[in-house]
Amino acid sequence: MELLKRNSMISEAKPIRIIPRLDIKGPNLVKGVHLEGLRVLGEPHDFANYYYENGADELFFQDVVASLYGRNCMQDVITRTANEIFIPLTVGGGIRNIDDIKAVLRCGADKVAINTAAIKNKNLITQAAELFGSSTIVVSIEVLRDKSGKYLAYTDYGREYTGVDAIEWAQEAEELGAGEILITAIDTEGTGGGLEIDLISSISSSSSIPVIAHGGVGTPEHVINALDKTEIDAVCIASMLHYNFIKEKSTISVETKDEGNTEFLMKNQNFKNFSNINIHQLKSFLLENNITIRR
Amino acid sequence: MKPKVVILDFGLGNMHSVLNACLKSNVDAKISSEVRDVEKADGLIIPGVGAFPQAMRNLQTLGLVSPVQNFVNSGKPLLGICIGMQLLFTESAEFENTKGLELIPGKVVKIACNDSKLNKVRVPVIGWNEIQINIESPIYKNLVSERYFYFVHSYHAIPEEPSIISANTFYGDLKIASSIQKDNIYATQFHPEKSSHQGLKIYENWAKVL
Repeated sequence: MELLKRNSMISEAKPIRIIPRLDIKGPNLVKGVHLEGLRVLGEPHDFANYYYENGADELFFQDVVASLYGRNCMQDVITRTANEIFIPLTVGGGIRNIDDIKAVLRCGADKVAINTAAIKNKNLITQAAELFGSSTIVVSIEVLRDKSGKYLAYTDYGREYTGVDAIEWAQEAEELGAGEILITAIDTEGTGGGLEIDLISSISSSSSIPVIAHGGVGTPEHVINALDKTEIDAVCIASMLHYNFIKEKSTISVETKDEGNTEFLMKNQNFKNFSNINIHQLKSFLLENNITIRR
Repeated sequence: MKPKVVILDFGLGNMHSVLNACLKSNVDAKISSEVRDVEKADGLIIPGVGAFPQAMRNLQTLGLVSPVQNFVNSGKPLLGICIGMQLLFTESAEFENTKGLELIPGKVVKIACNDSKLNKVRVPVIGWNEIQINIESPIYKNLVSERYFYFVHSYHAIPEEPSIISANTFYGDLKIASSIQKDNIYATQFHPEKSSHQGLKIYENWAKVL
């Protein structure tokens, strides 16, 4: 009876979005752990195309060095992707003002994710929401738990301490006009150890706009666990999908440009924390567990 | 010669994504805000992301209100997308009550949240939803059976004549019009240009009625 009830409830729910996250450094797709130790994995385009055909609901691109060096190399990647891929594209990293937003949207992005500039200049969220519509503006919050257990927001790809309470900031961002919240838990990011449930539960239950959880998915069970315990609308996944794609394509040589650390690809490492699963398989697994997804 | 489609540029929204999708679907389209291009077009697409009052102000400033109305009255096919669908209606309650293009009797209202924990509808609605097709509209020909499309909106249109609603979508208990068809007017609340292969099929299908 209990199970039946759960099934009938779930079937009315809106589909959960699965969003591959592509961290971009220069011309390459990279991946690290706790937003550090970035390794080159290959050409962003190969990954984007594969995820599109494999059933991704959206793609999320993050320029990982833009806010540090003030450069934006993403436009070529986005333009090329937007010409060939017909699902929503969100772009984050180095977006400081209205002109930056315009430039990214002109390349074919549908949404922009803002972290550093939003905390420094809260008015930017309101202004951008009025100009482009709130659904275009994602506020990205990178979070570390301090010694007392408090969740604090960091900026500049997890490098800079702000002292801002992450849960309060999420609520404020909604009031300022954000259309979505993306939460990255730095403690779990890249580890494959599971999503930070307390954090995403607090933020998703106190907000009335869609919430995307990111950081820690290593297995499909991690996704189910988060959907059971929180009210998130979407899950952003990087390592698990990237490593699987590399293994699936291991017969094809992946050429990379000479920026970053490529040694990692040459070693046949076993990523014991990560399931070998692609988006299509992940969605089938979710469906078997009565989670509504887009087929 | 292939029919010529104009994607209306009124200073808002994602017309480049719509253009990309048209080109991919083999539709001969170009972006324009020129009245004479609208007059000469075989088909007109009103794309959109943005707020209703600003969209109407832009259409007025560009002198496009009557040309769009004349285009529809000429009987040539129009495709409205998202705000491009909502603009066709009599009026919208977004921010302030604003008159629309008045081509379809009805109004545009805020998506009313159902607050029960289970069916909490988060606004803006952002994501993929299934549509239930009521009318065998030409734009829905040869779709696969799973009919998921990408929606992004905080407002939805309520036509006075329910018979023009070609598909519905449910948000919790709320039933919204996810597309309409009235004579030569086709419009979708969802974004076909962001709805993967199924969405591209809609552009391809619509171009066949030109």
